[in-house]
Amino acid sequence: MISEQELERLESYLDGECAPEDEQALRRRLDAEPALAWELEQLRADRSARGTFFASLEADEETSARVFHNVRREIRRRQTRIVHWKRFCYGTAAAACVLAAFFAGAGWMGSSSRTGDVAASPEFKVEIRDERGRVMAVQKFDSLERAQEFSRDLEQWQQRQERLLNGDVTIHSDRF
Amino acid sequence: MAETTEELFEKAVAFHSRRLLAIARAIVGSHAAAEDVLQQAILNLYEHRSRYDWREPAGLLRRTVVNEALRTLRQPRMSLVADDQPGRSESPVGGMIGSETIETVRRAIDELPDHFRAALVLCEYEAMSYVQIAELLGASVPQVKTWLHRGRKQLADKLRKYMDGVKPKPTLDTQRYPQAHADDEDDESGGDPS
Repeated sequence: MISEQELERLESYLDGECAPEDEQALRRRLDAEPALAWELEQLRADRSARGTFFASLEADEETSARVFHNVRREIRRRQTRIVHWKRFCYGTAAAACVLAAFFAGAGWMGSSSRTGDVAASPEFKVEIRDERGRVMAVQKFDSLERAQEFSRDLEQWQQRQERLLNGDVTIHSDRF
Repeated sequence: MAETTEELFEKAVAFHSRRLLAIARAIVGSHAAAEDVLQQAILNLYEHRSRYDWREPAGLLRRTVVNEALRTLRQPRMSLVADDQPGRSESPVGGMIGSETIETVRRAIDELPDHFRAALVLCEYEAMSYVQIAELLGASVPQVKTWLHRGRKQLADKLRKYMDGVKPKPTLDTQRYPQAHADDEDDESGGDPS
């Protein structure tokens, strides 16, 4: 009856993990000891059965194509989602330009209202436009400070979105 | 023109997917859907594709699939999933060894502990060294050797029981040994035949 240690040695030999000197010594023993050689053949036969089994697990062409198709579909779906995010972000990038342009006008309007028209209250608004210049949203404020604060918040949000799209951060929560 | 990362990625996946699915199937057995494991592993790599060199992706793909398979096995298991492994009769190598034996080997391997199974497929199917397997599985080399040894021993015991079960029982030639046949009848009836 072969010992566990001997069995492990034979397994290492079949795995190609024997040190060169150990392998030589084992080969000499295999030549001299039929019982040991027989055990090695048993291990080889078991290994062959397992090898046949593992080979039988390989995917056929149809399965391989299906997996590949599913992966590509999921990748396209994710890319579409990223495009939608980017379109929205381009819109917010334009917001700063709109606000800046408006500030120039607001200054003039503000001074007009201060000097002349007491009844009309100044209105400040921020327009969010997409990459084609179409207005996507309008936010109104009753003071320049509030409009500026909104613009700053929007800019910070836009920067976060860009970092997210570039893979620089990972979302753990949807709260900012 | 130089290929883009996406093109290299697709090429790598297409080339290696057959073997990768075999690895996933061998590791998860009937405890999870191997195709889902493979798909998730590939998608994980896609998310970070720009970080890797896709000209020699074999090791990376294998490592990712193995990790995803083991991660899936660590999740709480509700029930055995439908076996998406290839039909027994469809095996291209079925002619070399009976399909029933393949099925028996499959069941026996399925019953092994997860790490025994993973070590076995990486050693014998992927021909990885003990050091590589240890690194991939986060274990020591002696641990890998133990897993391999115990896994093989368990499989050998199961297969031996199976082979003993299918061997025909020796029967006595009743024409040659009529007396023995009469003795048998005596035993069955419990009475004296004479």
